[in-house]
Parts: sequence; C-alpha cells; structure tokens
Amino acid sequence: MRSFLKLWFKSAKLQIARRMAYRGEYFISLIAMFILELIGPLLIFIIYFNSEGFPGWTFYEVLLVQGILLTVKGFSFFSFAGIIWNSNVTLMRGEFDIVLLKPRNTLLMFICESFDAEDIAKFIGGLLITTYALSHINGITLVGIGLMIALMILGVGFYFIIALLASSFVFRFIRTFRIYEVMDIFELVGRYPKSIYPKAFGTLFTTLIPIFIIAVFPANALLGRLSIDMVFASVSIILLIFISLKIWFATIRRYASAGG
Amino acid sequence: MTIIKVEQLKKEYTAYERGEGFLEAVKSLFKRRKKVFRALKGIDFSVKKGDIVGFLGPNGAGKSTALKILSGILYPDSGNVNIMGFTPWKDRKKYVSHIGAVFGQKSQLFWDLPPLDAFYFQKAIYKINEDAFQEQLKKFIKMLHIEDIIKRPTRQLSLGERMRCEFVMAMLHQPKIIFLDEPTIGLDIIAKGTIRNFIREINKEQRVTVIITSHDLEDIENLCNKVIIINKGDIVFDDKIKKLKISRKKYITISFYEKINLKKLKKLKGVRIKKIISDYIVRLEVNTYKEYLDEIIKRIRMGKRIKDLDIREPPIVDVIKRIYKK
Ligand SMILES: Nc1ncnc2c1ncn2[C@@H]1O[C@H](COP(=O)(O)OP(=O)(O)O)[C@@H](O)[C@H]1O
Ligand SMILES: [Mg+2]
Repeated sequence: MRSFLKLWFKSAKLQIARRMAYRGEYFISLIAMFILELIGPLLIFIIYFNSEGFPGWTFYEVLLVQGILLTVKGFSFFSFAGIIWNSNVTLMRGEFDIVLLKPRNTLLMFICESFDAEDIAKFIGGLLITTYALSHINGITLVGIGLMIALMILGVGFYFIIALLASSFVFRFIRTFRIYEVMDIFELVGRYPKSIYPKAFGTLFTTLIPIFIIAVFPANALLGRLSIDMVFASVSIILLIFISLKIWFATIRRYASAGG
Repeated sequence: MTIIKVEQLKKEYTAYERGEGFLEAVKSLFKRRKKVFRALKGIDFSVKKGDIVGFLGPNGAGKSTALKILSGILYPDSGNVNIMGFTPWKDRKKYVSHIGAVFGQKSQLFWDLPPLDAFYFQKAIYKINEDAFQEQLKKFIKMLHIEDIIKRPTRQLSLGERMRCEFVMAMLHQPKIIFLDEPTIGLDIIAKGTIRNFIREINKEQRVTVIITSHDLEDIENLCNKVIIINKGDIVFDDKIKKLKISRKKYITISFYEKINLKKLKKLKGVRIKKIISDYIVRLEVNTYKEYLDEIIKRIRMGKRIKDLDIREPPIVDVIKRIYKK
C-alpha cells in the first residue's frame, strides 16, 4: 500500500508536470473548471432564496452540503475516477496490455496511470467552500468533524463504486459511453436533503444506491443530526465496494481471455 | 538450459459483433452474433537461455497472440507454458517483473513528457534501486546514443528515437527475457541497425534471452540463431536458422554487354530463370549441389563477357513460401 501511494504521488507529479508544459492553458482550464462547478451551488441558492427554502436548514448548512459534495467529488475525480475515461482511451488504442505488463495490482496500476490533473480544481474549490461554511456554523464539535470526515471517506467510496462499475461497463460493452452525464445525475440528487424526496426514493438513496452519503449525511453528522440511515448507507457502501471490485476484476480477467 | 517450454498451446478468439451506441449495446446483451477464430492450434516449442528466437509468419498467423500469452497478458484456452518456473498468466504479477517487452505499436512512454520521466516512473513501478537504475541508464544512453533525446517531450521524437527509448523502458529492470513484437516496424535502415546492434549486445553481455517477431526477414536473418515459423496457428518450421537457408541454392543476377539468348539459357540444366530484368540482365536460381559455382557460371556465360555479377543466398521469404506450400 505504501509503495502504491508512492507510485500514485509520482504519477500525480508527472501528470501535473505534463499540464504545466502548457501552463497558461492549464491555469485557465483550472479556473474554468472551478467556475463551472459553482453553477450547481448557485442553482441551489436560487432555489433556497426563492422558495420556502429547505425545511430545517440554514443558509450556511446548505452551503456546507454543497462544499462537502464538491470536496468528495473533486477528490474522487482527480484521484481515481479518471479510470472511466482511461478505459475508453486504453481500449481504443489497445494499450491495456501495457498495464498488464507491469508487476503490480492491475487496478492500482490503472488508477496510477489515470490521475486527472484538472479535477484538482474541484477538490480545492470544495475545500474552500466547506471551510467557509464551517466558519459560519456554531457549535461544531470534534466528534462531529470526525464523523463528517469518516462519512466523506465513505462518500469517496460511493464514487469508487461508480468508477469501477462504469469502467467495467466500458470494458465489457461499448467504447464510448457518456458515463459522466450519469454521474452528474447522481450529483444533482446528492445536493438535496432526504426530506425533499418521496419516501421510496429516500429509502432507495440510503440503501441500494446510498447517494446521501456523498454530502447530506456528512453534513448531518457534523450538525449532530445523527440517524440510523447513516449506518445503513455505510454498510451498503462497504458491501457495494466489495461487489464492484469483484465485477471489475472479473471483467479484466475476461478482457485478458478475449484479447481485448 | 531450457528457459521457455510451451506445450500444446491453444487459443481461440470469440468475436462478438459489438454495437456502437447505447441501444445497440443493450440489444447485444441479449442477442449476439458470434465468430470463432482459432489463432493458435496447439503449438509446442522450447527456447534455451541466451537464444535469440525469431517468430516469423505472415499477417494473422498468430505471432502476436503467442507473444501476448508468453508475456502474461493473455489467457490461453489450454496448454502449458513454463517460463523460469512460472506460468505467465497465473503468476502474472510476479512473473512480469522478470521480463521486458516492446510491442511495436503500443508505447510505454508518455506522449507529452520526456522519456526520462517515463524512465523514472518505470523505476518506481519496478522498485529498481537508485544505483542500479543510474548504472543501467548510463549504459543504455551510451549504447543507443540518446543523451539529447531523453529530455525532449516524446511527441517531438521521430519513430526511431522513440523506439530506442522504448527499449530502455523494457530493459531498465534487467529482465532475463525480452519479448519484441515487430520492434523495427516502420523504421529506416539506420534505425533498424541501431536496434539490431542493441539487441545483439544485451544478448551477449547480459545473456538476455530474446523472442522477436518480425515481418522483416533481415531482422530475423541478422539476429536470430533459431527460427520458428508460424502459419495459420501452427508451427511449420522450428530449427536453427542455418537449416532454413538452402545453402546449395544460390541466386545469381547477371548482366551482359550483349543481348541474352534466352532460348539457350532455358535449356541449361540446374539453372532456373527467376526473372528477366531486361534484354541484358537476368536473375537465376542455380543449384550448386553437383557442380561448382564457377563451372555453372561458365555455362551460363556461354563465352560472352560479363558486365556485372551478384551472387547471394536465396532470401528467406522464398524459402518460407516453399514451406507454406507444403
Ligand atoms: N482480440 C481478438 N479478437 C478476435 N480475433 C483476434 C483478436 N486478436 C487477434 N485475432 C485474430 O487472430 C489471428 C492471429 O492474430 P495475431 O496473433 O495478431 O497474428 P500476427 O501477429 O501473426 O499477425 C488473426 O487472424 C486475428 O485477426
Ligand atoms: Mg502481430
């Protein structure tokens, strides 16, 4: 694991260096990415101020949800979700063979080679928004922060599941699939608290597709609004990670038998 | 000492018609048209440590398939492979740290970054220690004359320059075997020469066993001490390269000052006209089995003055054609 992290940092450094070769373009695209990411939270504010708002949520609490979501998503995107895009690219060029040629775990190797230097903007933006929101919320406890971070890590797990399944899907069936649009839908759903959804959806998004874990639950945990739903979602995430890992490796095994 | 042993290796490809777009993909979940192609029909061979073995064969013969299986990235359907005690596809992670590979069309370098960065990444992947890495790197830079190349972005390099760097990628971790799939494809004569010299040197100095596939018969002729010819998934020849050259046959291109009397020439025993190049020049295949070469030439010349003469071994391509016909 330590040697994997070393390799991952090395790859991250290389990818950033790669983008720095065109420094101006890189910074512009970082800024563009950041501004694009602000559209989501802005929409929420328009909804917040033009209607009854979110029942039981203050403005800064809603901002916190947006910040957490962007942090979790940003971290996932730059650190591993690049495998979705990279599945397309390597398949098209038949270059997955090169990944299999390396004396490393295939998935970890693939993640290392799929680092996405651009999405760092999302992560940093998320951290900024989260910190800003936190500074306007009273009565924060250390336990609350700890729980929030733990749930955010599981939220990253949610994106990990999506990335593995999407990558498997690309390997198994088609080479160009607009999976990122599907991820946008998850994100849209994850922006709102459970209370605005019909009951059936609320249940679905805490158990089978535990979307609330990417933002709403961590925020709730920080605010001391704990619920049993968080346990269901956490258990579900861990099970789903296990299943999607199985699926991914089976897909790769199949790829290696079919010869791409 | 045997380093590679292959027994009854079989591989079939099942190709499904793969749909483009989402709807097609969903459809193909339920109903798919299937095509089976037997790429390797049960091949056997072995390789000794320190050999340079050439895989030769026409397009689609199964050379790349064999190489992919041997390098642990493709599962066969059946058969045994034992390479240094490993079964490549079962012990992949451990096994591949002992081998290196250059696949002509697939790059291990990073397009936007200089090769030197890729070398350092390779160092991290293979956990090569600093001293060994620097030593190897220095040696390869000298052997391949790439001092100035490795600091330029890969995308700016010519194919030949890039290929030399691909070889460094394949060799940095001091593999015991390297697999080369069409490593000289598209290169000019000078670049080919550099690569061939490099292969020869690492084979001699580090006792690296080399398995190479190529379209280029000169690669094979110049490098290999053993040739395996594959055709349609079967091995049709497996022996020393010397055996492949039919040494009793020579190709002679002869050029006269006067017009050639073709009628007479055709009647000569042990002489076959391969090609009439002009009224004055012909290429002949002669058999030196029963007769000395100078005597044959004397008969061909029929008292006329020779302007130019070129005598050589028959190219392997003709020999292979003959083997395929069998
Ligand atoms: N992934 C694949 N799926 C289906 N058929 C394949 C695949 N790879 C190779 N083949 C077929 O198998 C045969 C052998 O291919 P290959 O080993 O690449 O030949 P060579 O390298 O000798 O040209 C070819 O007819 C090729 O079309
Ligand atoms: Mg080939």
